[in-house]
Amino acid sequence: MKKESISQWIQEKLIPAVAAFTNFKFVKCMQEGVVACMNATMIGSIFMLLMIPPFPATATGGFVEAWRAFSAANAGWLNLGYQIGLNAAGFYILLGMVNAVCKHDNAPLVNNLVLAVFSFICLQCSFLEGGGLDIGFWGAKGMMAALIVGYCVPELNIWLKKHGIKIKMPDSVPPFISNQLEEMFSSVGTVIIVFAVKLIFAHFGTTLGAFVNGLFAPLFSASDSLTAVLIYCILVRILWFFGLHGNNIAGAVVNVVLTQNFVANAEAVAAGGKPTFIFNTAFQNWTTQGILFIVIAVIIVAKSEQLKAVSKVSLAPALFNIGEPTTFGLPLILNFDIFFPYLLVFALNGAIPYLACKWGFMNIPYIDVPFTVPAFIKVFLQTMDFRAIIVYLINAAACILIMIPAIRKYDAKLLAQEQAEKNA
Amino acid sequence: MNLLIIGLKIVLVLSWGVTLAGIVKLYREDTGVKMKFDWLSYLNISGTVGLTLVSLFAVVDPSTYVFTACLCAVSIAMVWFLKVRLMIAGDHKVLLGNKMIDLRDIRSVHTKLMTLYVETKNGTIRLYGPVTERSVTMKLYHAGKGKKR
Repeated sequence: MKKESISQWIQEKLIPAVAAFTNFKFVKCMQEGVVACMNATMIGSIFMLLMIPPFPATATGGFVEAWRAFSAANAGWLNLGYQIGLNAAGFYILLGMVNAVCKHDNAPLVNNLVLAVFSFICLQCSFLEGGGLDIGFWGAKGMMAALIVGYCVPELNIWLKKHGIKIKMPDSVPPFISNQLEEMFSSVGTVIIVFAVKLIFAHFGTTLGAFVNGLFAPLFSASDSLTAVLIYCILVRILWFFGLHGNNIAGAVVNVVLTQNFVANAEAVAAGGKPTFIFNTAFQNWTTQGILFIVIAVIIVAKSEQLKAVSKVSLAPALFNIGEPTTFGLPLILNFDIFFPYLLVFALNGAIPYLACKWGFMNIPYIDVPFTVPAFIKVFLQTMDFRAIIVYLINAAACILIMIPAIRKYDAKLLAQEQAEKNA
Repeated sequence: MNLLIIGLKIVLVLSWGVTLAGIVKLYREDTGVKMKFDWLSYLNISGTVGLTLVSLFAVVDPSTYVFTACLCAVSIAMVWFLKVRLMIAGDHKVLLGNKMIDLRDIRSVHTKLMTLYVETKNGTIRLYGPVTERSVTMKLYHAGKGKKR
């Protein structure tokens, strides 16, 4: 296929199809909603890390003992920080989702937010025997339900307001009062429907969260497999190859599952257990490390002016996991000379650490670290396991060795072009 | 040792105070100042906030003196590292780390590696890995556009 016809196919078929998917209202709101919990999970991760020293029980030494003593002396409030940071992630997603829906529909935020929180508590929580609210379904277990409630409740309220009876207030009434009263009937209607749903679930002895989690259980178990990791890595890179932001497009759907896996791991660690889901948001960072390996391969073999210039500009950003200078400078977009090794490198970025976790060569990543932290430090911080650095180095060596022949061939082509231009 | 840790906690609060004072000053002296940050910057800020909270709440206890002192010191360093990278703009002024300058004084803006270079009439300001939002960078770019010639 000629490059022109590929380009035409991208413009006419691929981009409109991807745009239609990413512009689908629920997908757009979901993207915004999931991001809402990121800051809280980051802060919660710091509390969790300090609360549970990441050392085996047999480990000793001054630093380890000091950390343990700190954790024991501050356990109460460190747990509080963890609970409101990480273990309420579902609740923050609910707020983000309602905000996104209201922004999209140009609807008033406050009333919809109150209704959604009310519905979420009603559908997800139960009262404890001694008083108080059981918030067990506010974390990982409640994320899917948060997305559903955060989307459906404002939509239902808006629909009822549009099609139902509403009180029209005179112009003299201040807007903040008239808005609330105008929405009274639709709000009552929404609450009745929410209670009806609650009663149906209660009749079957379950809650919305438990039901939805049961429904999506096959998806979560399927997501945590080598096949899922490989499909994700290859799909993201194919999209980047066509100039589309692969991480954003694939992430619109995948991030929900990965965030739930991540929080479930954190909950398991906080409960004294071990993380179980390998493919989670922390692991996702491993799948984007190939850019640095490509830059290193370019530095090793580059003789042409273009690749030398690209390597100089790209190295520092790549060290901090920023890939755009390489993606657009090399370029990686529509570059058939390095397409297959490029795909293979990113597939290995997923497969090698996945198998290392699966076979027990390193701990499963369970700590959220900003993705700009240099990879060789980040892999240790995410797993709290020095063996992760060894896995990273093996992965790096394999990827660089795969890229060198392809880059050498591409470099020779560029060198010939530069020579021809000089002679002309 | 108690006093050292309490002192470090006070320094930590003061460090945040100095950082926030710069922002408050910009708010007072200018209009259109928005505290908007992009996703990466938010992660940077929340990481620093998390570490600060842990350091401030940490109990002052003989069994944890050294660890808590180190944690406070790291938090103070993180806050200062955040402060010198913070970039917020109003309608007429911009806060570039430690310095507040007039948008009119900007001659040009360019980037190299992870650093933003802002050329002003009083010299060049360098910001390593700015914590900011895209619209602020665009404001700087438009302010400096055309003045170099």
